[in-house]
Amino acid sequence: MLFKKTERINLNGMDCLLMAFDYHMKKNGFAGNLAQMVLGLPVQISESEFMDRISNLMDQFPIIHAVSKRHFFSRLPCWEIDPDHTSDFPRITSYHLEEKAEDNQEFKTLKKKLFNLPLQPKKGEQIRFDLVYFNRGGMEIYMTWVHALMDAHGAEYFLSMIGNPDLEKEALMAESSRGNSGSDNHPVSETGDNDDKWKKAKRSFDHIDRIALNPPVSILSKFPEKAKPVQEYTIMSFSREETKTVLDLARKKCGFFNESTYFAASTMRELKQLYNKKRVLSNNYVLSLPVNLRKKGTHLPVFSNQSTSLLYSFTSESLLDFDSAVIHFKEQTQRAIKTGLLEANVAVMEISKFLPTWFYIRKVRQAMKGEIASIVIANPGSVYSRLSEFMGIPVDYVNHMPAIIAPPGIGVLFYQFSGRLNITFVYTEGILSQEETNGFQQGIRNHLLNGK
Amino acid sequence: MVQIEQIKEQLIFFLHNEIFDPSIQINADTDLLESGFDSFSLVKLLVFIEKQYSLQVPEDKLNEDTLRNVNQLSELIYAFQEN
Repeated sequence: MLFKKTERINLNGMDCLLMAFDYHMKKNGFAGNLAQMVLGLPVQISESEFMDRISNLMDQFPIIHAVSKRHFFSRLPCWEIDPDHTSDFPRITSYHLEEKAEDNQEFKTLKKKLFNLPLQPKKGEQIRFDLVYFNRGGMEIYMTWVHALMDAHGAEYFLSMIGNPDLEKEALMAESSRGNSGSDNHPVSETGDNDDKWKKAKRSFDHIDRIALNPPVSILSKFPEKAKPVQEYTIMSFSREETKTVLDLARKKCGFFNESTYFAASTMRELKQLYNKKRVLSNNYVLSLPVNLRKKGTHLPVFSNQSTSLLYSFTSESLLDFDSAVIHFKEQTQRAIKTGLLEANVAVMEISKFLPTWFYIRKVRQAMKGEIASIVIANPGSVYSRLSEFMGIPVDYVNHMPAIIAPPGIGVLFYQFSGRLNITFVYTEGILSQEETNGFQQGIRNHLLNGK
Repeated sequence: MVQIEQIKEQLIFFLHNEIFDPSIQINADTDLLESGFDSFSLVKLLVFIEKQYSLQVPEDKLNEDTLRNVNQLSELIYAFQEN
């Protein structure tokens, strides 16, 4: 009789941190550290057809319904795959609405519900699919996942695999190097010995300590009674002409290939305006910018977080005008590369696996007390993710909606799809009024379209 | 002064090891932008050029043409060395 062994796949350092934040958010009443993508299709795919594709992928990639556990002796988190276990996950749920209209209350309520519906990673629910059918035509596919399982780039590729089976082979090869080998599957994790890692990690902690000396003031702490453990999002889209204007201005103001600087400066300038409107005085504003660590030219591996975060600090004076914000952002980026802060942050992730999670979270929260503007810049639909078609159907739009990790704050996600710039704005319910939310978005839009 | 052929070799070595996935073949004609080069890759590349050749490339000299491939980039670096 052939004995099938339970397979354990180790999480890398970033996965562990995101899992720690998941725990932290749940403790504060939130659904957890989840992320979500939505795919808009002009033609409907039946639930059974979709289910067939997912069933096939479950066989190829059992990690999508693996159980989140800890090694018995080391206590390190891992994904456990029991070949004899029959799983109820991923769940696929269908909803039927009359039409897709943003002002439709039923649609609004459903989107908010799907965004705040928890997953159960300890039971094997790592991903959930919600299919929203519109009676007047078209559909939306919502994929919600535990952030510790994969990042936005991995998720784009996974969604592409559902729509295009030809992509499976490449992803299977990338995943085959994991499993019981104990490999972290992290591009920078192999560098240096343990002593070196601790030294590098200290550099990263010193950076956090420096920011924490002058921490930002939290809007939430000023109005704690209004905040609810629920996150909301709105999406702002630019036309192709507007996107071209924005990108041309970004190049003119910030130099070639510096859209991220342009986006960051616009967001931080407007964040300061928001603070002024709320009459919250702060001398420091912190920005967390995730950096994709994958080698360029690939979205693989799929099922792990291949990123780290750079923390930027802006004084009130550095945000007085647009040019000043641009200069401060660029200086900090160059310094981070020159001083090896990026590698230092990766080292922190590596050693943080062996530290109690509360230690790192407490440390980071010293620097992230304020409503952090977390910026992510992604590019779904690029040649690597191949999301422009899904099961033979041309995709109308792709949107990203990540939950914003603790402390509850403000997240702004920039991404392009089919030549159009989109911005997803995520925030904790209650900390901003509708008028303030609209004002913040409109302010960013004005900065981007006018370059000041 | 580093010769242009040597600059090409050093750039290809750096890009192959530090920036691109091993599946991407990097030679002097490879289109870097088409191959996935991004803004952080650019910052890393500029820091490499600064350390390796002790020169800072002005921002206004960076565009689609100069960053197109290793050939173009090497010519830019070589010209700056001469100046």
